[in-house]
Amino acid sequence: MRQEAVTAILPSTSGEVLDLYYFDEEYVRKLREGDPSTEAHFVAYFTKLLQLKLRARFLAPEVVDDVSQETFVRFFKALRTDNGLRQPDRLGPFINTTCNYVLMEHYRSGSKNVALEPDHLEIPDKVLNLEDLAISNQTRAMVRDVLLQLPERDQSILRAIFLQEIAKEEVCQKFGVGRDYLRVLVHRAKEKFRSQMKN
Amino acid sequence: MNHDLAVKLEACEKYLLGELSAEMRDAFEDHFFSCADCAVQLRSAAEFIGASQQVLPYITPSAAREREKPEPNRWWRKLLPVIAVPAFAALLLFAGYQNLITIPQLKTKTVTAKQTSQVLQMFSLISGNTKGETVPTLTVAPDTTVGLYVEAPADPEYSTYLLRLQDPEGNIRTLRSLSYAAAQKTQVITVEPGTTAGNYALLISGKGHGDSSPAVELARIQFTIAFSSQVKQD
Repeated sequence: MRQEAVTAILPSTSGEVLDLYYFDEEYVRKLREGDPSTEAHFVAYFTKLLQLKLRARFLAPEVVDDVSQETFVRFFKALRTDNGLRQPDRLGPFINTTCNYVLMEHYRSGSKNVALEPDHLEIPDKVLNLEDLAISNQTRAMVRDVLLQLPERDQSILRAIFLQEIAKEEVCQKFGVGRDYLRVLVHRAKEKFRSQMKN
Repeated sequence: MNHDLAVKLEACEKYLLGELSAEMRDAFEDHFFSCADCAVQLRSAAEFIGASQQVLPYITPSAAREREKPEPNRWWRKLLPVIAVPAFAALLLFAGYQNLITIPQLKTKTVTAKQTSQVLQMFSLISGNTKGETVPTLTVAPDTTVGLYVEAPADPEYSTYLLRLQDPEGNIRTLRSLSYAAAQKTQVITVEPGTTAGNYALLISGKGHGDSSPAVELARIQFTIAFSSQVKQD
């Protein structure tokens, strides 16, 4: 079997400008009627958030996709029933709650090694693995610029927590910084990145 | 959780760094699903972290190191006349040796690292071939870095996993070790075959709980690297 290169590091889907719609009655009406642009915006907007939510639970990629899809299926089913969505301005939390129900069912249908009460699962104190997010070349280039502007020590700190998955306590001890320093470092780097995106 | 509290708590960064309790995580999620500002912040931060995880392996810190160098102490300037002349003579000799002998030798060696951003050729080995299916052939240009998507057969019975690469000559080198939690995620492995085409194998073994547990080979994912001079690089 001859396999050609599938792609570069994932095709560009990030960097697109998503208009900030108001989730009001008009929006919900269009969604219920199946307006294509509204549906497209809705799915694009909430897919990203659902994926981040599910990645925060360190689920396998296929589980992330399955739960996301099931969430949308149930949402649209509820949307098109009478009184399925009573408060248009609560559209986002409704999606979140629907996803929580799907997650609960996933956990309960899992193996005997999975706790039945997901809230009691110990949350790993580790950075989300977002390495396989769909990120454009342009975004990667901007992030590279931001990282190169950082002092070597900060680069090493980010490398340790983002790549090497070294425990944050160990990183703090090694570099002589506090946990707050890590958060501020990430925050400032993110703000520089956003500033470059706007420019 | 309202927006002001989310900002005050630095919830966005803490969420992505895995530093929120379950209760706070749920509260922040309920918030960012309804707050466009926090949703945008979160997405930007996630993109930044994701891109950093892709880019950091290829960044060398030389530029940053240069900027951090302290201002040199200039007391030695007084000794210049005594030191400079013989030093300059030695330098001339050294430069001559470099230009006539060393540099021409270096030019014939293959460049293995590039500083500019480079699109990585990615292949998926996720379907694997541990059960005797056809071995995939990956067609690449020589002296390029190849990226592979791989999934380890994660099993709660094993607490640590070892990923190793066997080249066509039978040499085995360790790529990385993973915890059970990490092994459940898709791995991105980079391979530099250089000019060695042929049959490679990714060996994945697992070790159970306890120091005395033996390592067990869980998967052997074979693939062939073939070179094509017609493969274009970006």
